[in-house]
Amino acid sequence: MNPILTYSNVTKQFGSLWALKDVSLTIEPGHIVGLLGPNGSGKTTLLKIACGLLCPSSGTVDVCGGPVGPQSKLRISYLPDKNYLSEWMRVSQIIDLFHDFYSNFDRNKAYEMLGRLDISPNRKLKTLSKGTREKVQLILVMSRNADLYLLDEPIGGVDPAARDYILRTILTNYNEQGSILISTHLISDVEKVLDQIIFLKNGSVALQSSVDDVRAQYQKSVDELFREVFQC
Amino acid sequence: MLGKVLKKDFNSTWRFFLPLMGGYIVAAGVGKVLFEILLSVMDSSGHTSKVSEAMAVFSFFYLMICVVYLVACYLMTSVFVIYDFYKTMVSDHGYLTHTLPVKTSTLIWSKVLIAVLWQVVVNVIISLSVLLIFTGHFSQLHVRELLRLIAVSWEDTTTVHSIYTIINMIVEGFHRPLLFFACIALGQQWKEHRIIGAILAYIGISVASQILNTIVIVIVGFRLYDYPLSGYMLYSMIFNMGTSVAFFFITNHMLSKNLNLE
Repeated sequence: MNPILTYSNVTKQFGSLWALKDVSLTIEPGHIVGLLGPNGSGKTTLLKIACGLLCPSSGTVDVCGGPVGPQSKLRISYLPDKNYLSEWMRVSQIIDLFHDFYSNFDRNKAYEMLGRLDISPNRKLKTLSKGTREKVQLILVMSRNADLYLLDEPIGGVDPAARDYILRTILTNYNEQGSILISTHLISDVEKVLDQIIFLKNGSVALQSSVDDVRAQYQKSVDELFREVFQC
Repeated sequence: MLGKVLKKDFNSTWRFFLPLMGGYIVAAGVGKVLFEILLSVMDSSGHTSKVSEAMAVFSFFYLMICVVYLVACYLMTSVFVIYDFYKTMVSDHGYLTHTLPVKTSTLIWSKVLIAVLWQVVVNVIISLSVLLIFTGHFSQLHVRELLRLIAVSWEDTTTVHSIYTIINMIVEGFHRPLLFFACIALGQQWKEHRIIGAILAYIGISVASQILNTIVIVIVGFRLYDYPLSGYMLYSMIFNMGTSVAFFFITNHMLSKNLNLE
């Protein structure tokens, strides 16, 4: 099976700071992969490079066998760790915008999810709370029938109940033929949904393995292994 | 795809320009009434009351404010075009813009065309408002004679002068936003202080343009004052077209090969 995402010797340097150092890894279809690492380990940079928001200093990234570009952006559904929507827009206008640009966007699914959360499509984003805005962004991302979902800290900064909602939304709405790459440092919350993990340490891949192999080889949960690997 | 991007950009800009231009149209309408009052007071040579004199003074200051508003409309158009590009291309909203399945060149074309559209709208509305204010008084202004004198002083005919002026305005309409976009695209390479980076890029590009301009004039032996106005305008038009193309490629290169949304 052809990989959905391939990083080949990717390096990213910001001035004198090395955010990524010679990263090579592949993501196969049909997996939920945890991109795990402490703050500043390069998780966000790795995801942004796949989305075309940052250009690597060296190395290449392939998405579904092609370079990063308009075609790859159609296949990737990306949830950034910040609010990227214009506050003057109504929720329905944002849905129209996504429907205009992404042929794999399911408008009905989006309205269904909004209805379940009791978010009126006529509300302007500026009238919504921060948490509700984040949920709207998640709904937009998960309403796409994408090949690859790149989710940057989707459960960071929200209460445990909201975390459960977010994880449930992800699991019940993603395209199962595709893959999900979730970046987080809240391991215990996501461990139960992951089938593969990537440990990123100081911009380098410290470990890439299936969750079952981690448990069999180290006799530890992913959370316990993470604490050991990244011990301060 | 360009149509979809244009729709998106139009939707995010009309909310600013509609009130700006709506306010100006209302202000110009009131200005017309006050202008007529001012003229009637001036024409009534000596037979005016204190009230009508006060009204004339008020009208004069109001018209001055209209002129300031007019200049502000021009400035605000440029400022908003720059702000919109910065916000949607290199700040947080760029996360959406640059993850749309669209080529970077299409995004830039859309921004340029929307900028040109609003410049045209602002220019047309302002021109119409000036015409409205002077309606009924053109014979006193001798506009035709004034235009003829300007053209003759530069050894041109009025028609040639008018055609070159319009073409130059169109070229300038593309040139100015593209210059600002290139500066912002260069400025986003800075990790912090991106606005300062864009300002430095603007200074750098302006100096480089002046040097290039001087070199071209020296090389082709162009003697500005030996030619009629149309000769200078033609040169300026070609120079601006050339630099506009360069600015487009700089912006496209920086945002597609060196995008830096940290």
